[in-house]
Amino acid sequence: MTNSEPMSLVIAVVRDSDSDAIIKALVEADFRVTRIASTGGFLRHGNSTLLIGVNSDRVKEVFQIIREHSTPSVDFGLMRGMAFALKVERFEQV
Amino acid sequence: MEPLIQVIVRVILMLLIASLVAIATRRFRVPYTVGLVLIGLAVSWLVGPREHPLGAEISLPDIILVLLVPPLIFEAAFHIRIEDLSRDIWLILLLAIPGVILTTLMVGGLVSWGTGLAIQVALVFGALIAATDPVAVVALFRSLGAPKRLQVLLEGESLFNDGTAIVMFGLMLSIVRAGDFDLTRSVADFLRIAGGGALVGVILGMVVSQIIGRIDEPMVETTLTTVLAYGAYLIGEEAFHVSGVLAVVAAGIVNGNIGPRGMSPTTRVVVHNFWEYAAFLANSLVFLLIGLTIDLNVLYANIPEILWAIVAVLLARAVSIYGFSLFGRDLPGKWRHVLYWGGLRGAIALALALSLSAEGSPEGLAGEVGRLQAMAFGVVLFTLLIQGFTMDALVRRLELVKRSFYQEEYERRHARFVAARAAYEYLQRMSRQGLISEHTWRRLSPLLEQQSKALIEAVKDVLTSDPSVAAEELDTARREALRAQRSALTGLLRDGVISEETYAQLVGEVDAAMTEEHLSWPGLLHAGGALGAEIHWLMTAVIQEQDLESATSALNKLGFSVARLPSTGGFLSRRNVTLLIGIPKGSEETAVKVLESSCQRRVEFVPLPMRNLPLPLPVPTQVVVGGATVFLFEVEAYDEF
Repeated sequence: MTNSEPMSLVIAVVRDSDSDAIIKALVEADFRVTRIASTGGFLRHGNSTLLIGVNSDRVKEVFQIIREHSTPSVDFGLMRGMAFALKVERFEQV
Repeated sequence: MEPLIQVIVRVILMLLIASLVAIATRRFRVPYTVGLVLIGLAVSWLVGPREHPLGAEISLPDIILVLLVPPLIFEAAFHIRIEDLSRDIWLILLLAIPGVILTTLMVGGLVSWGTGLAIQVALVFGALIAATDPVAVVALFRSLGAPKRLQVLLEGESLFNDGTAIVMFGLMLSIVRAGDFDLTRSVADFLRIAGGGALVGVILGMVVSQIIGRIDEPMVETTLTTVLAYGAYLIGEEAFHVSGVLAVVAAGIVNGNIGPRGMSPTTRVVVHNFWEYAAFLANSLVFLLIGLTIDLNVLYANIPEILWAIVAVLLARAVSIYGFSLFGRDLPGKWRHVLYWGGLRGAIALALALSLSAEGSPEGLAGEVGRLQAMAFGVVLFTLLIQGFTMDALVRRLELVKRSFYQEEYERRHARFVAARAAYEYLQRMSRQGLISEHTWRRLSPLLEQQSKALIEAVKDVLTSDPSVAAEELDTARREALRAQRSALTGLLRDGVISEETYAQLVGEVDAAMTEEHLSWPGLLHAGGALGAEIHWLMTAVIQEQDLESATSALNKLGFSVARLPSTGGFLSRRNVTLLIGIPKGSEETAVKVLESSCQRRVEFVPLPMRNLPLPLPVPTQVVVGGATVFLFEVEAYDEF
């Protein structure tokens, strides 16, 4: 399947503890998510990285879902996560 | 005088001396602990050595081991991050367990061979001298800004080997007492005492961390950490007859890594300050006591034995450091020399030596107690004075602390600017007071102003060419600003302008910002212009794991948002890290420069098994590591939350 609409790749770095809820919410909203890595380690909060392929006009929607499902940080002013949307040159599912 | 009053008077006197020594050593650039030992020696030489410096009722080894060592060890363990420790945990454990055993055997053998001491007795000496005490070196590292990993290596080794050396010492004594040696029983005892101690410490550390998480009372939480430090030692030693020191080490590491999560920022600051002071106090007393107890006459009478002991200790350290460090993951070659020469001996060795007494010792050992103590004193003194004094020169010689060209240039230009401004202000005051004529001032002032302006530009040039220098200055400014806020709040509370609650809330916010090292200061930086733009680029940078700390902290200080992913790659599948960095338009060069300066290429040696040999023999092979691989992508949209 080749898609002619403009596509974006969203790379989101979120906290491990939030990742399940976020993935569930994204899948429910009909987005496809791939989780690639998580920093494990003893006694440490890890990060998960999510790759989400999405039509460019729905990027804001993805950002919104991720934002809503990240639990507020206990530490004052500390960043909880970040998300980049990159332009995809070519997108194919074979 | 009543005994208690007498003890208090002596302790207060020692604290007074310690304060004076602290002031003096700062001025003369002598390590503080070395200064304390020297003053202690001078006092003991003037008034005669004291077997009981604090009064006859209290035995010195007990004071050192039960009263002073637990807070010292707890403080060091409390401040070690698990992440830092786990990186070199195998090397640390190798140095602390097989290393201590090897040192005991080698020193014992060499001393017995050289001085004719019975081998069992020499082994007791080997065990008691095996614990390293790098306080002086760690303090030096901190003041010079040596790599943190090296500090953790040296401190971690000493934390664990204090425990194992004490266990070994007990084992060697029991061998002398029993007269025979049973390998299985010794190994079993060693495992029981060491492992049991660690277990006791882990459990107590967890329990106290749980309690701390449930309450929010800075004073009570601090008190609980104190209870934990001494409680772990006493419960381990007295209730379970396992290693108290290892219990304190484990309790400190667990509590220091889990405990602070349940603390409010204010508690964290209180606990941190308390332990810093407690460690300073304990250290001062320990090293002063070392100086006070050493009897120069006894040293003089045993010079050949002491020389042998020093040679044996240096040889054993060389074998254990250069041998075991082959197993250290990507350990820079120069660090080995620093670890070797940084193996100072201190309080534990002395306390163990003093705990031997002629009356209580088994036959064979009783007659040699004086000699063993003299040897221990000699070795401790040699390592503290000779190695402690020359460490500074060694670290500088090896150029461990590399100051970049820009850092030095920044310092020079900044200093010139401050000097020029001072000259301007001084002349301005003189002209106002009529000390120089208006005419001269009018001719001079434009010149001076011009000079100042040129220097301001010159400083700015350096700061923009090396972002890490700028980041450092920004960080200092941020800390000072927070400190000023804190003291302003305290002033408001004292003057009754704000209530206790408002004060606690606002100070909590300031403390939170202060304890968060990597927190960026985007507000200020974004106001500066360059970074104010929206995130425009995504930079993916693959860097070596060992550069992670310096790279992320420099990036964060400059206000970049950074996330990291663990990855594997490169030569021998060495661990590396992939950073995702959000970058505003126009700042990509800055980010590249930061990575360039924090991820330098370097040559390292990796032991590789040689082929075509029946026994795989590791051969050090030269490899170039470091650097960063950077990809830059354009970002369509960015969100941070």
